[in-house]
Amino acid sequence: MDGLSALMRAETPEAAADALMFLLDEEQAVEAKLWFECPSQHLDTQWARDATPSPQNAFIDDLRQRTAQGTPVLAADPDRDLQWTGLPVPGRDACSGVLLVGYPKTATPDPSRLAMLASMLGAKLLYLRSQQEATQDRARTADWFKTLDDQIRILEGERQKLAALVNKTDAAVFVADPEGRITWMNPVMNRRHEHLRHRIPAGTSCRLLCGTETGCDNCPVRLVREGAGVLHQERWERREDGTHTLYVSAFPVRSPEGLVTSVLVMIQDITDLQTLRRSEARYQLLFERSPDAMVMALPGTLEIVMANRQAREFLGLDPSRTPHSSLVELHPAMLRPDMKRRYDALASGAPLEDLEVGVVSKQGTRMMNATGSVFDLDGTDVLLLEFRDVTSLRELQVELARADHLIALGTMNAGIAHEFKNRLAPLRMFAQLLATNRYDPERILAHAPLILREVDRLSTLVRDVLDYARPQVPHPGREDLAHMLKELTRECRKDYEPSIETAHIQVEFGAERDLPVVWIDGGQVRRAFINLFKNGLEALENHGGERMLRIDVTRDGSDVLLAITDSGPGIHPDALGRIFDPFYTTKGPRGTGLGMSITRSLIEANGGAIRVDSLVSRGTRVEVRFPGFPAGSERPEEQQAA
Amino acid sequence: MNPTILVVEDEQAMRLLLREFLEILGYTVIVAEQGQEAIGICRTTPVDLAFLDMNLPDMNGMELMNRLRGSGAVFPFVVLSANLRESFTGDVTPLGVREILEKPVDLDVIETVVKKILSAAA
Repeated sequence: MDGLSALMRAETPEAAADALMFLLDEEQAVEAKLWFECPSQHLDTQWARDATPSPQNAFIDDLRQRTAQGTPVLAADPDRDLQWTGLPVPGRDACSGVLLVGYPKTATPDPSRLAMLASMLGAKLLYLRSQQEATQDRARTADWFKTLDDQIRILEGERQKLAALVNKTDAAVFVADPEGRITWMNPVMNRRHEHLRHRIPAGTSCRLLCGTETGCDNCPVRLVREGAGVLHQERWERREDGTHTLYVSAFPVRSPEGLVTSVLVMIQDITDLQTLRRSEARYQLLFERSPDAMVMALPGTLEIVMANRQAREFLGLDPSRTPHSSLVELHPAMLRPDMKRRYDALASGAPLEDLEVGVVSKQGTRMMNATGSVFDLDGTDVLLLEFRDVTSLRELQVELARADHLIALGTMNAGIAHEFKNRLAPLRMFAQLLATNRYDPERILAHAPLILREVDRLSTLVRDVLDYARPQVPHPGREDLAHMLKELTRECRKDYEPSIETAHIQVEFGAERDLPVVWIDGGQVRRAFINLFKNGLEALENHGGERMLRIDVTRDGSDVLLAITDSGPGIHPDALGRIFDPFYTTKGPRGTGLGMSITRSLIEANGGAIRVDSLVSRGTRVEVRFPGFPAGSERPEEQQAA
Repeated sequence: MNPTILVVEDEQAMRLLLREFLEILGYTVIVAEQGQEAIGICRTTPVDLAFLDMNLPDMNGMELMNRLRGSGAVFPFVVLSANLRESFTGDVTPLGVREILEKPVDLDVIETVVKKILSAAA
């Protein structure tokens, strides 16, 4: 390949320069220096036949500068035996080059051929440069395409996601163009449309939205189109199953220039949600406005989760601190050992009922009746405590009891007067008979035992009246009722042996094992029992049928139940209703009519309750019940004092 | 013949002492504990005067008087009561009550009342 071909085929500026040097060699040149400058290309190379290029001295620099003026320059080397030809290498615009060729002084180079070579080199270098620039442009374009491709792929992904969302949402979605014509709708919208029995009306989103033919001022499509931005509206739609509430959201879709090209509308049926909210609001209202104080607390710590208005008031609760306050912290009374025990029992499933607790509040000391239960709130056990203010009720009960007492006192006074006069009448008559000497004292004195009996009855009456009138202050202690009554039955059997034997009365005693203990004044309850035992015997003494008196001590829930059952004649319903009235008696001269009244007040003073059931000609059953406590329990008074 | 006086009184001491005193005064005395018993006696025995307690185990004095009058008894009544205010409802004079005595009662009062009533009847 000759030098010209090499120059033509050179693929880099360096190869082109090398090819040129090879051509110069053929032209008898011994040295050459080439500079070529372009913004993206810089060539600075030199060649010498004997491999020792001449130094870059002032002569060479001067020659280069003069050549750069644009015309060929001839000059003799002052230092070496060489003549130089300076040739400008033609470029374009900012590109320019200089070729310096050194010959022996004897040589005769062809100046036109040299000029041609310089031009060819310049053309080649320019070509190479533009080729290089084209390659770079191509790479850059490829990068752009790639980036664009990626963007498209991302957009496609987003589009698919959006499509899935829009197609799968339970909201109805449609897109309308700025004129309000439907361009797209999702399946829900389609179904809604079916439901509305409309055909898709080309050109009207209004019909889809609210069934009208023309858009109104309120139309979301119109408002968004006119630049309202994102818009939310609540609408109502009457359907066969009632009025539905729709939540309509409209979003503008804008062109890059910011013009609204279409409007996307989403319609959600929020009827169920609203129903739920309303229902929740109703419950909230019930809870909040309840006249009872209601507190939700965590078992154990009694940390308050929620409290209604009444509760906040009576507990003096700071609403801002509600979630962190503890019932115990607010009311140390809640920490009473018995209360604490009840709460703990509550947590293990035993319901809390009718626990009365005094609470000091802004309104003074209030008696609160507490009931409670544990329930599951989202997987957490929560204690629901309800406090009912029973202060007024208790006050009323006290008032009533006082009134009752006054009435009873009136009845009692009349009764006492009647009884005393009846007892005193024979005494006075007896004394008067004795005081006169008109009569036979022997005959009169024969009645002395009768008079003595009357005096005894008077003293019994006085004792009973005092018992009834005097407040019974019990001194309670722990008692095993079954044991106590077994002993007492034995004693009574002995004391009343004559009547039991004479009347052939069968007395039986039975008691359940391991009964709870009771806190009672043993002495008072013994007296009550003796009264009931005596009543039973007296009912049987003259009874024609079976004569059986049973005493049973059993457990009834947490109570201990004492039942005295006789098989006697029973009590007439009229009499049964008055059985506890003072001075009411069916026993004639034997009773003062105070026995049952005294018995009841003794039992009630000891925290017990008494009831009498009777059937005429079948018998009578008296039930006395006392609250039971576990065998090892503390004394109730101590608990209350704590 | 001595006039016959019926004493209806459930209190034993009162009943016996009243009989004692009336017998000392010279009357024939019949006693009854309850109302029903008194009605039975009046069917077979002529009575000139009756002492009635107002509180009897089987009936009250008002009922007894009504029933006695219903069965044809015409003798006058003297009523004995420990509580005058509570024993009566309305006027009892038409029933033949001549005297109402409150317990405890004075023997002289009884003597005067009985003599007055019986002499008026005679």
